[in-house]
Amino acid sequence: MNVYVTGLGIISSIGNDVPSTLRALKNDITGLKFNENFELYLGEVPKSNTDLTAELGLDTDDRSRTSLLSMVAAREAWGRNKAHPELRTGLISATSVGGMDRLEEYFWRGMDGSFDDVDPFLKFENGQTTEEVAAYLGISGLVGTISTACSSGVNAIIQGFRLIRAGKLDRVIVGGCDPLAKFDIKGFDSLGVYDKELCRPFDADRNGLNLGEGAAFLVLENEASREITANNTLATIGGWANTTDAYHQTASSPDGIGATLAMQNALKMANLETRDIDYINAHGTGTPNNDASESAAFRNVFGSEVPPISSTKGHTGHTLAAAGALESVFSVLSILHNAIWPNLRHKKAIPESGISPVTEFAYKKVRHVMSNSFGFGGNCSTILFSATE
Amino acid sequence: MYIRSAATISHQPTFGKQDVFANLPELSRNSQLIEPEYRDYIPAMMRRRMSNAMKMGVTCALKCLEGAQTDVLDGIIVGTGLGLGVNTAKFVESVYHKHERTISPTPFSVSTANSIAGQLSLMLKNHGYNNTHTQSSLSFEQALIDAELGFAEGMRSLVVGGTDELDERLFNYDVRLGVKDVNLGIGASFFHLLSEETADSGIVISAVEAHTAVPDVQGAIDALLERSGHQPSDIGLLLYSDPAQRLPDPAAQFKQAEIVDYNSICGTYLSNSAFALAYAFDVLKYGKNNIKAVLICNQLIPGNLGLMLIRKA
Repeated sequence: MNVYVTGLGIISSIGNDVPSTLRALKNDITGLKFNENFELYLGEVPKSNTDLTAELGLDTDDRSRTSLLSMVAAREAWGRNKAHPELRTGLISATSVGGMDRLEEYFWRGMDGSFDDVDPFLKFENGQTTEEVAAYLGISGLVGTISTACSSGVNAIIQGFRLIRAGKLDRVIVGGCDPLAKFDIKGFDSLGVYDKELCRPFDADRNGLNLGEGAAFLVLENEASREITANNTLATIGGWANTTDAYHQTASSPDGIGATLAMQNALKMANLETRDIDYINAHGTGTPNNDASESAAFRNVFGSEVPPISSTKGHTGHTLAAAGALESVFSVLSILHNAIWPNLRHKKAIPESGISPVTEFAYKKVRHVMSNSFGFGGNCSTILFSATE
Repeated sequence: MYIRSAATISHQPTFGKQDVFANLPELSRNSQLIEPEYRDYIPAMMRRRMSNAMKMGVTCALKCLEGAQTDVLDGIIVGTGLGLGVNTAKFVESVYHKHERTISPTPFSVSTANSIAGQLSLMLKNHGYNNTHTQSSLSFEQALIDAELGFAEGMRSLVVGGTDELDERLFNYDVRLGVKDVNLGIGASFFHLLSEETADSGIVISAVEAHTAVPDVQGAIDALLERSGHQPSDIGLLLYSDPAQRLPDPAAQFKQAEIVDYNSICGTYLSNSAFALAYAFDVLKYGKNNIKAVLICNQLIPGNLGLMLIRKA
């Protein structure tokens, strides 16, 4: 059974929607800017919660940034889709910090004063932010939230794909969001994984990652759904894999075991050979550990014939649970526009693997794209998108 | 999907025991977690850094895998409503207090909800499928649906569980549950599931559903019964959770069933429908009764309905 991608929606530091994001990708635009308050490069969406609330036409100012960013991207992806009695429709989202901005507000007030005054709008739990997005789109029933750190976004997309394949849903909107909050900004700081300058994925002299925020959603449908909605097909999903590195809670194994298995399993499921892959959108955070591990995995899987690779985290920063969703949108755009997105700020290949990413934007026939997302806890996921023939 | 084994840690004496759930009294106020000897399952060094959800989840998972072939374990799936909430709260506080001190990364690095499933994969050296669901009161049901998908795709052996720990500041019980005064608990229930019936796995989960913003609760229950070929009279035990009292009166429909409010036995926590599944398994597998099928109706959060049907194979 074919599962089609029929809708895309995105908001990040490089664009507020798909058209502006596409322009940024074609013009090497990065959304990473130096934030004076945190003294770090961050990929912030330049809109306040008040701006987003107004844009969404909501009349109460009580939602978390996670819900708001999600609603913007989900609304764009959903487009003109409507509820239909014959279409079993669901929503699978992803987040790692949930309504953390509201929680921080409440905790700050609590620690300044007391916790007795419970915020009636306290909305920390992941599931609740997803419920708000579902309600905004008019979706009820099978609604879920996946939280597997930096691989959450792609796992949500995979879950939606599987639910359609298993015959439980006809149509599903899938994706994820993580906003920037003091929690994750300080959290990654405490782990010492930042580059104090702009990040340089896959560069020999890379120093670490830059954080970003954003949300992205895709609409997936089976053929029966498409007969009713008449939505255009943008791509299909050929295969996926979810494996575990099982090496360390936060670091990746030097030989990239989990990543290797993920890429191999996805190719096998899609019935594709390594030479069929036209472009890989890597996890490529820019940390010494990830990029070395992922490069080793590329060598394990592709040998000396590694396809064009890039990390787009040099554009958007690492958007955590949203990353896999953002990058799935970039992967579909790559297919739609026959374009390979460049890896920004790369000068020297990692000596151990000798792999160099693509550094210039180029047009090229793109039929199959692989996207990787690897997270804390050792979660490794890969998804394969293909052009609809 | 067949349940081979289950393990539960809760505020009741449930760990490592058989034929106990049916005789548990209502949970008193100010009850405490009844902890097993964690050191029998987790080395001291590891234990020191673990919060409750992690210790409970890991211990229950390892317990239910006792006697199983772990080299054929295809994956680990966890459902949790608030994740590693205690570590999360701890880290939020440390950011507030930061002043000039450097902040310890430990609570942050194990604050992501998937840390439990991740820790298990490390201890079991498992490279298989690994996922974590955080869909509020339906997190555990979503984890089971995930397992169902896996078995349909050819997986044979999965560990699936639900767990939650507590920091009362993370959740607005009044607004979300529609009830002001709740008896809170924490706990973990994990299950070893197999794709095929074997000598030691004669209990089957024949249906699991998760409905968010369900428009018609009765309709959803009726549809599930019909789809799985059951009459209300087949249900010997009905386990429900409905603090806001929105469910249609189960006694009216399930006249032959014993009806039990499981929430009042284990205490309120978002993934406590996993406790209900452990209860059902215990009754069907070890109980001396005529019960052949159990229905679980989870409406911990009004409007969100979780349904599970479990029966003897």
